[in-house]
Amino acid sequence: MPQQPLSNQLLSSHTLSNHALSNKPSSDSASLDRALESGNVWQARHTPEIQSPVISTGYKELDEQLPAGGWQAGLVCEMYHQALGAGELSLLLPALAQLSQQPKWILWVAPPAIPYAPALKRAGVELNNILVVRPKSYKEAIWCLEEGIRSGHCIATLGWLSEWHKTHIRRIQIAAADFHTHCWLWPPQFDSSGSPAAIRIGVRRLSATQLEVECFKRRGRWPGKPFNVDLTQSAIKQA
Amino acid sequence: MNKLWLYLHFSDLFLNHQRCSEGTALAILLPSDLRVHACNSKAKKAGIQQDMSLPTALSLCPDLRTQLLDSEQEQQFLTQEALWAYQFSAQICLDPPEGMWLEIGSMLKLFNGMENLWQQMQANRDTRIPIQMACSHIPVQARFLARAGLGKPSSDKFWIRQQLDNLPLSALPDGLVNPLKLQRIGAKKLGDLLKLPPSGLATRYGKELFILVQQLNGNLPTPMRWFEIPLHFEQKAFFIEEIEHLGGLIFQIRPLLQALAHLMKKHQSGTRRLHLELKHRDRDPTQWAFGFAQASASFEELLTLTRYELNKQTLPAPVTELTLKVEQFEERTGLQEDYWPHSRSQGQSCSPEQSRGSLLNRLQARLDSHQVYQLQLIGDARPEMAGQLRSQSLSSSHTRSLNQSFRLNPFNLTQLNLTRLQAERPTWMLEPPCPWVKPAAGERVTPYPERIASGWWGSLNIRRDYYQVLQNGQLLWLFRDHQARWFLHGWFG
Repeated sequence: MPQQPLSNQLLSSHTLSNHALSNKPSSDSASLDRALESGNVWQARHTPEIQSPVISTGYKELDEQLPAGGWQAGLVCEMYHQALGAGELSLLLPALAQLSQQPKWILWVAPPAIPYAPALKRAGVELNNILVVRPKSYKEAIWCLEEGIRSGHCIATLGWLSEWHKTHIRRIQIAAADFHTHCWLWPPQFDSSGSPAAIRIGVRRLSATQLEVECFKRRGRWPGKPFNVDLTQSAIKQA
Repeated sequence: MNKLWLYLHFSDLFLNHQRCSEGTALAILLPSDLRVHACNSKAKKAGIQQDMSLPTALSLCPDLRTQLLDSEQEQQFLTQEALWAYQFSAQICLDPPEGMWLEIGSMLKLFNGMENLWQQMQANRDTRIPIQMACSHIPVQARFLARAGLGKPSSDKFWIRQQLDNLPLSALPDGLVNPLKLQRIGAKKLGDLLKLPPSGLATRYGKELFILVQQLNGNLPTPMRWFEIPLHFEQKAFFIEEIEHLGGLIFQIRPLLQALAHLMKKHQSGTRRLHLELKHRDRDPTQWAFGFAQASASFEELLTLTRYELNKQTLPAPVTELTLKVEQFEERTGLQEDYWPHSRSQGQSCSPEQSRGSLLNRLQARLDSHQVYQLQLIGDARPEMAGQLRSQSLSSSHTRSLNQSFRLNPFNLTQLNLTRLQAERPTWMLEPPCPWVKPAAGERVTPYPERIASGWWGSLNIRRDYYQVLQNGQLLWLFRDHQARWFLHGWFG
């Protein structure tokens, strides 16, 4: 039988003596302590450390709701909306304008319509750094997304996938985290059984300038309540 | 070691390379002002001289054939000549447009002395393209002598100096200094000029003449660049057993690509085109050409790209022999070797433009090139023209044009109608517009329409009233055309 490391022996004797002193029969709490120390249990009050860069969404209300205080690189964000024109892209435009200032690609995979250059230009997006790919199939689309992320030459990837498979989302989430790439996906339908994506956001249009946004999932915090975003209140001035 | 330079002067290089029959009078014209640059003996007989204007020349010789001087072509002819001269010396410096230096000091032993070398070169010559040769330890001296046609197989300093001194001032390059100015101080020959004190020369006649005189005297080095043989890669692989699968082919291509990458690494170059020729037992060989958006040089990248490209092909028949050819190489501007195994530093070692081009390469290699687009902004009032997808197609496969396409055309930007740029536009454009029902008045977000009427000059002549309409939580961009029909043209996503 292998000998226990000295530190473990010391630790157990220490806890034992502690218990002996306080005289509490709590072997449960001891095993919990041990589990906590080994790092197997995550506690909600410990927000995860933020290592990758965070950029402001441009909207104060949204920044407050997101765990990192903005869009964080390396987190996949799923955006849910009913149909085109629900403000699903407007939420991103200030962030895209910032990101596009760097000499890296912003890869758009399988957008549902033509991304309209004048509107993007007006929002301050640098068009030269945008690359649009129109794959023929879901398989090609997933490949493009992952290849874009893993190339390290994309600062952000945007994907409109025709299918939704948990394993593929997990792969993309891992790739994005590895390469500190921003990633937004617009899945075709909402899967209520959960998603490996770090953030899931629903968008609904209330009026021409008002959106109702809800975080269904945000890593490190409980889901939030619906809140309003005023599109005209973007903190980043439009070009 | 003191180098000995042999200068080869190909007088009328461009003219002599033109193939025309004996009896034709031919003149080479300068493209800038259409004056005669050179002409053949027949034309000379008719009285045509250098610098003559085209009308004068034609009036002297009505059936004169003319050809514009193409300096790029001329440079290629010179390169051809350099390849010929390569058999006599490996150290060559080009002196465009019509000359080159050969370093022969190190070759004399091999060729058994200067006289022998001289004779061998003359005997080996294509008689239609004569050369004038001269040698000296000082490169510029050799050039002057060769141009004057005074060269002989001797590097005797005193003899060379004597010949140079006797050269007329017209031997100086055109436009360097006004010959009249020199004559005014009593200089008639080159020798008079070489004797002048250098400091006065610089202040009176400018730096260029001073430098030339110093080079002639051997006091200043002559800037020269070694000529390098143009690259070409061709390697074959023979198969004892026929290859029937693409997978087996990749395995065989690997060592060829490795050799190619090795060659390109040595020459600091990359390539954007691979040619594969597959030989079959009883049918014509298959030719495949793979093009990349960006020059690549690393083995790993070439292998991945080739694999993607091969996966798009089908083998028509079993392969017995494989040839990999690369004809065009491009200079690499940055070092691209470290970025492939997706380094976390994200390719900081090479220029961002170049490194991100490699993603473009891989996307295009895997997909078809017409599936990859960039956004284009055009200063046109018509919405469907103002913003378009521009295909990153490989047909315009040139690094420069690619790099330019990364940028917006400045002409377009200045054309941009600024008021149109300020107007609110949908993020998604539907092309072509889709017929739509007339929206209820309460659904309109904007009280007044935006009228866009343009394109009267072309086929797309529009007169439309655009509205922003909120329907079922969707903000739409609708328009009513001049026939009062409604269309959906975009979404405010």
